[in-house]
Amino acid sequence: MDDVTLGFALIGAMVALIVIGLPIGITLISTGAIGVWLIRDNPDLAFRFTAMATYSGIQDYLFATIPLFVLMGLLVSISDVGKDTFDVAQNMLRRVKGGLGIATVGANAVFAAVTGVSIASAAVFTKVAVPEMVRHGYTMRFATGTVAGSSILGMLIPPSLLMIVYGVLAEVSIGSMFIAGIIPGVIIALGFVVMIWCYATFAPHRIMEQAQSPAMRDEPLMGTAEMLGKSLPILSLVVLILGGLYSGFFTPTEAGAVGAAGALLIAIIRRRLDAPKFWRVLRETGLVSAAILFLLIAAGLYSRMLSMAGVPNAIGDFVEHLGLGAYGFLLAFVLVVLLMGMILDSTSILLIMVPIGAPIAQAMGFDLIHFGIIVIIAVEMGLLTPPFGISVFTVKATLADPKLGIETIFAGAMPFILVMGVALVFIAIFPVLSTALVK
Amino acid sequence: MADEIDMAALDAAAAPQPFDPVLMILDGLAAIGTIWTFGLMLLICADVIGRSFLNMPITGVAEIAAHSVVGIVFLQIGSTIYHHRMTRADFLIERIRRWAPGLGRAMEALFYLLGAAVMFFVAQAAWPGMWTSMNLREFFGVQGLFTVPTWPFRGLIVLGGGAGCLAYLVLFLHEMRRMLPRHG
Repeated sequence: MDDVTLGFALIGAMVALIVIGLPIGITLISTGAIGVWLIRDNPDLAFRFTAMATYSGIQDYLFATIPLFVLMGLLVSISDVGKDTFDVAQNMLRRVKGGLGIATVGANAVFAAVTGVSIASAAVFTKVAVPEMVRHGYTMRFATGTVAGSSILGMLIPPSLLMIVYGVLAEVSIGSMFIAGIIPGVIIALGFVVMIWCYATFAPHRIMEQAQSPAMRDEPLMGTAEMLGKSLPILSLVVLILGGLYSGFFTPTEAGAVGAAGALLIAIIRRRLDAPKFWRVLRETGLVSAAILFLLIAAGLYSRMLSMAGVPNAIGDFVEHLGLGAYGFLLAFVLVVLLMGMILDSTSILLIMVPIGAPIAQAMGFDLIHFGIIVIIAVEMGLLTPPFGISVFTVKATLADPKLGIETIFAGAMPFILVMGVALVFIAIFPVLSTALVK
Repeated sequence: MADEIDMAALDAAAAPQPFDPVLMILDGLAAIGTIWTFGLMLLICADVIGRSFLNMPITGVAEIAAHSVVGIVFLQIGSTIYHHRMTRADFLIERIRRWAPGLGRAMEALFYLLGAAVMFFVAQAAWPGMWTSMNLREFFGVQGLFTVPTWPFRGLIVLGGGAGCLAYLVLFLHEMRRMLPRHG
């Protein structure tokens, strides 16, 4: 068996093991190590490569961003900043058709700029926005769908854990990825807004149970001072993090540390944090980041094995042979990512696909930053597609309402997937949307 | 996993656990890693403040942060495994567990055993490196300013691999104990 065949056989084994439920890190390490051993016919090399992956592979300043951004995201989530953002957005948009839906999207977009995790957004806004929307006469399907749909902005608008992971795998600057995500994130948020407005204007019966929202009239108005007070903490965090990154004042790691400290201050000032809760936040940060970092170690070994076997080259040749062209390859790649999104979580998809795809994309003339944004949008769509749509699961679990079927939320999220699909095509055709701010 | 944050765990204290020495060891190791993460945050913030306002940057923060990652992962990996927080695709195994609980348990037990083998392999692979770096007095930092030996970090990989192996083995034993009465 030649190396390439062996490489593909190992990919097949890996996919099979992952699908039956072996933890992904364990799968990647075992197939990676066995692959290195078989390709070079040298078991010692498997040990050496594993030792490298666990030490030099992970010992990188940039990896320190991961625990720091997770910590920041969790601290922001518990400090009720999301609720305030939603309140302010709701107050500003009270006269707009579909205003509450738009407020949810807007609050998510702002919240996304201080957290890198979609799940945090989904959990926070399920508690805040869904009851409010239902009270104002929106259907449960639309309310939950909107929360699940707009939660994906969390990973698209920087900072984003997925961008860190992609940057590491494709060897692209994480700071650049963050900056590159801003315009596509805003485009998708605007797409959501337009879609909701169209529903509210032309087909309100599709999203509302009652034509006139009953609670609208007698709501007290929020004064400008109160609105400012409520939005000040989150806006200062946004300015601190994005401004610091964009001006080059902070490295991504520093942005993570300063952001986490800022979020900690906000949580303490607003009395949302006592010692036991802080410990739970730190513990959860540890469990989540250890799992991600371990996956990155495993992916390092796996991608080394792949390039040793010459798999990316072989696929590249094959794609060229097919005469698909650059965009044909991109289409095929995105389709595979979308398919994987139905069964796998987003980080794992990146770990498996980017080491294969990035070298090919680069050879075909794609900017790796542009390619990364496309891949991340495609991966994010997977968070909303059945049967494994983790954002949808989170909404369901947070709501804990047995009457609400998971299918309802999936159906509600459908229009958001369509908007993302359209935006994905748009962003793929115009690379400048991703690269304009970076250059 | 980025997708698998347990938001509910932030709100409620965990239910009291029966006495479990393995859990205590693994959570104890994880606690060190947890404090380490927080310390790293403070260190980087101190550097940013020192650098920007006091004209006093702290030397070597980037290198310390880089090496800290090793410690943070391997101190917490055992606990992560033991709390079933390793990322995996569970849509199929969940269904199998529902339809054929015996088969599901057997697969689960096999996975734990494989996991233990892989974590043992990780520890074993890091073992020679630890001794080499100790004998060569390998360090990072700038000589004269500050130096930190690297062997403790490599040692943490061995420790973490061992902790992960222990966690998987104990999970395996639990699974076996649950399987036996059915067949016995």
